[in-house]
Amino acid sequence: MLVFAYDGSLNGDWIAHYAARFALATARRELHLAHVHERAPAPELAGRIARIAEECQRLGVTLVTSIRDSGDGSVADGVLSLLAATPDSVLITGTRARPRNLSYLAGTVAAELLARAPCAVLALHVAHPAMLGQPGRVLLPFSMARPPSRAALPLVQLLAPELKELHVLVVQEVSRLRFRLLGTRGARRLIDGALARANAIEAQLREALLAGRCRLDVSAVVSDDAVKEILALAGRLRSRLLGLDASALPLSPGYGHPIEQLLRDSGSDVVLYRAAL
Amino acid sequence: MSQRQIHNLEVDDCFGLLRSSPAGLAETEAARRLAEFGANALADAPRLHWLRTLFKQFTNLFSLLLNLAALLCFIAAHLDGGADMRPLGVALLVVALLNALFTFAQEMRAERAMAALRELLPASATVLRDGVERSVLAASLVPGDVLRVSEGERMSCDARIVAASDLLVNNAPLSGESRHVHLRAEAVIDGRLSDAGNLLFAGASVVRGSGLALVYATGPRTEFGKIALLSTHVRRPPTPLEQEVARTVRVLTAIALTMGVLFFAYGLAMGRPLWLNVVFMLGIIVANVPEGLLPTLTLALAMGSVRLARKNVLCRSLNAVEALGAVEVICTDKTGTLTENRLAIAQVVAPLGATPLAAAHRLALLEAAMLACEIHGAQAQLSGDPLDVAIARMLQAEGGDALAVNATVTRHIAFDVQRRRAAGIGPWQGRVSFASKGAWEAVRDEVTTFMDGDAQRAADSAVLLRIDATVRQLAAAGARVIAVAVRTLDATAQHGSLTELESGLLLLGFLACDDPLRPEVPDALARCRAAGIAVVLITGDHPDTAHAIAVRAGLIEPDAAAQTVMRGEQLEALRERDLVAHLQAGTRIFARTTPEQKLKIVAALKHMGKVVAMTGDGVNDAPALRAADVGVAMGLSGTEVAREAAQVVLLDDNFASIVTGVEEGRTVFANVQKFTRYVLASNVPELVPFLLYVALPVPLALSVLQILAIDLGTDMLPAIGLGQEQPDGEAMRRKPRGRRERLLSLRLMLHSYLVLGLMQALWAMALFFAYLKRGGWVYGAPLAADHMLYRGATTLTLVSIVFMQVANLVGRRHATRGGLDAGLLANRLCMAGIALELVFVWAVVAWPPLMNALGTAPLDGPWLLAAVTGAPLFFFADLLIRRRWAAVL
Repeated sequence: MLVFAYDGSLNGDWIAHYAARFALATARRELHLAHVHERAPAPELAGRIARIAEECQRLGVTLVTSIRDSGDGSVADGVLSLLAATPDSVLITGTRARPRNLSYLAGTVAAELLARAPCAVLALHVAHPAMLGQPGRVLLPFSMARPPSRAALPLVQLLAPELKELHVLVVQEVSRLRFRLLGTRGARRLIDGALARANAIEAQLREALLAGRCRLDVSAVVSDDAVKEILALAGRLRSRLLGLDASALPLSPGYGHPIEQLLRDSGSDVVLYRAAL
Repeated sequence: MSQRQIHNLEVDDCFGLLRSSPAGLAETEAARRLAEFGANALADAPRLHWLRTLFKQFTNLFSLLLNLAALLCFIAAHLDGGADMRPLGVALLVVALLNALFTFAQEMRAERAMAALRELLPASATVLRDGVERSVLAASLVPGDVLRVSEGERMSCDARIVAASDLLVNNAPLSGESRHVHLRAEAVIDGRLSDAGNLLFAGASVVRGSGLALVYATGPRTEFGKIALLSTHVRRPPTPLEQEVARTVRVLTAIALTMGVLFFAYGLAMGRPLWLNVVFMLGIIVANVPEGLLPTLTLALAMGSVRLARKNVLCRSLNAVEALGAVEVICTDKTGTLTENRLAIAQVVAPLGATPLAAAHRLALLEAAMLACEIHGAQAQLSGDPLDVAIARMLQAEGGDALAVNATVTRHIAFDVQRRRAAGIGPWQGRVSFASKGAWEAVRDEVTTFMDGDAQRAADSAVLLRIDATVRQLAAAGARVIAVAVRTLDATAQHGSLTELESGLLLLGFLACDDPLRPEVPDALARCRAAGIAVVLITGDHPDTAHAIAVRAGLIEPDAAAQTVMRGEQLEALRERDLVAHLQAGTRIFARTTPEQKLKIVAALKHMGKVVAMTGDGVNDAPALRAADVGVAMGLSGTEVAREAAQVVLLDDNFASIVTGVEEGRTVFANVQKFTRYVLASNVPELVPFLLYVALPVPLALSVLQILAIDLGTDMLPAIGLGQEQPDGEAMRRKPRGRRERLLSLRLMLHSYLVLGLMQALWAMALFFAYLKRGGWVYGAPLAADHMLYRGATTLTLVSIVFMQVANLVGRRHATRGGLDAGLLANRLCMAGIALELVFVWAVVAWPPLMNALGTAPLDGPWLLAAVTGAPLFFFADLLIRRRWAAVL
């Protein structure tokens, strides 16, 4: 089941385009919109949900709506209670849009859901509403510092119908000092290792995508600044969506956390993904 | 599922998407959104970022080594009471500081590129808020704002047109395409967002008309903002020389420190006093560290950049001088770089067979083409689009009046990048006509008849195929082909839509335009071939045109295989590794490409381990210029942003100047190797006295101060002189060194230390001991530092090393030849260096202030003669060894 935690904001409207498109990739073509409000629902809420329903109808997606009061609990509790019966769901939520000197995740409902939801979670940040949830070109960066995982597979499967180009980047991070002292041969050795990992991920994704409609490519870099490398490659490839593994994300990531930096500096949309707990 | 993005939406849906309305946002909502989405401004660098960048310059090995050398000077000054080494220490600190500041200035250029980008954006904009039009700061624009745009304005954000009145914009900063684009409010059925005819992008300027636009992306989220971010996020790789210098400094420092520590430990084991051991450890380190090498290198690069500037190549970074020399692949534009960017109509040909039209038909075609042009000015000084001006000039040459024809145009439809054609309505051949001029592929589907001599004939599919062949034939000859077609109109049809107007066209013929090849280019490309440098042509032109120009320039053979040319669409669809395979298979021309695709080509070439130079002139070339090992911007036609992003600026936009730069760069590297050998050679005779002193009961043949007098005194100017050696003609006959060739190679170290250094050490030590023996010294007997015998012996050692360094200087001028044949007088700095060394020799034996400072004594004629004899002996021995073992050394 695909559950979309909708907060009624403009940002939420933009994420709804993604949610509706994701629903197209599911067997039932069904999207469950969950809105949990703390006080009374906003007066415009009905109109906004109607627009989402219109979009879903146009795409051939069934929209199921549940609106509830958070009661004594938090908004996140409300959303989680909706998910309790279906732990195999995929939950779609949004990070807030904020200026650069504030955190995108710390203290947000998205951070709480990423930490607590039993199912797979996708937290979206829309920087470019003009794409209407069809990024086409997606960049998936991975770090050599973390063991290989299959957490990206559900995201890739949901993106599959719209995907034109998927690029896998594996970053081998080294310390600043080591980076400065690294010779050509040493760098080559590290890049080859990262490239082998990238090829393995590519094979896994190719299997998940089944049909070869989308172009897959890989690259690997050695760097002392992974964030910069990811942003540079995203810019070079004109990627419209960055997919970041948020499995090890702390509940309150600091301002300097790589995911916070990428949310802050990315010119393209960002999706944080996490597999079911 | 069909794609649906903002350009595919109807105007009402766009307002829905952004929760806005034709009356604009409410002020309160705009303020809320500003807090939520941030200011519409390109990001500033983090605070104190400059401080971190500056600090980094003082912690690299280069800087640390210079500082260490300075410290040694201060220690030596402290230990060696009579001499003051402080000025030398200060000089080294100044060199370290200058180097650090220079590199800092280079790194901060990324910020300047960002500043140049910011200057392209306006400070204010006119918006509708609460239904009222008002002027606001551009930084306060938010998604959902409704902008009023009018002639002369520049955009600061990305927006969807919701109302347009004859709106013509120039998207050059973003697309690199200087032609104007007509924008409209209607939804576009298909096509990419970046090419949509209903979107206005930040950086674009409104050429004509007015309209309303709905803002959907601001600040770094705009397409322009992404270029800006990319320009700063793309990291410039260290140049081959930077890598080599870092490695050289590491190796030499490691050698110096290891030997110092080893002999310190040995001294302790032998029971020498701790303080004495420290002094000798410092002596060994000082002897091993070529203190003058790094300042000499900086000077050589600086003087190289001055020489290049005289040849129209402006190096914005010192390392770029040498990086040019390491280049293995040059990726070049066509227009303006290989060609003169002087569009001229070479031929006016018939639709079939590419045969030239008769005079009357030619005049008729040119008059029709003129209806689709827009020119201004007087007869002698026409201005407008280069193609329009070229058509007007030819019409005038044929006896027509271009300005008069142009003045009769009642409706002009400007060139549209998507439609790839322009059109106009006016009188032609006595009747009101619609005329269209543009790419043949763009008008082909609307052509129903064509002119065959004086007759009009139907253009069926078979004829169209024959016309295709004509176009291919012209393009294959390197021409840019423009089709000219007309349709006579009745009174009502004149006001019809463009689609209605553009049907049933009569093809009059083609204009074959030529942009002449620069005369220097074939020779420059031949030099590249001889020098093993691959040249890759990247152009937006038709593949056949690019192929023809490449053949004419000598870039490829006329019968080159088809895979030498790749189209932009093919490139777009390729994986990076497949592109590498294509490049390895010989693809040398990329046609119909976009500036963004340059980055992909650079990445693939760098994946192949190549050192890449990339040319560019537009704003959107900036990321590729930064990503390349050497970014080359065009000084005449380039934008400020491209110039700021590049390391090298061609003042004449000429490809041949890049090749000149490569030759100069290669010469600089060869010179750096020459003076490295020269400088390292004297390290051995400086070191051996310390080793002997520590190992045997003999006096120290050179003091720390005398070592520094050689390294930072007599060796500096000759080394700088070697850095100024002129290109010897062989530089461009060698293969590129790329990243493989070491500056401090094993061969160089063997030659410097074990051949040159050892010879100097043997002769100098032989003289030292002979002098002592002659003076009555007995092996094992101690000698006081102020004993005249000791002072005379060390003077002889010092003088003999300096004389041998004169011979070393001459020998280093050529790898295998003697060095004298290159004309010693040709290099004035070398001559000045030799003069300085001779004056120094005189001063250490005859000028009391220096004699006191260095602890030297006068020498008798025979001893001086013995020291001088070392020079020719050294020179010829070195020459013989180099000739005998040329392959090894």
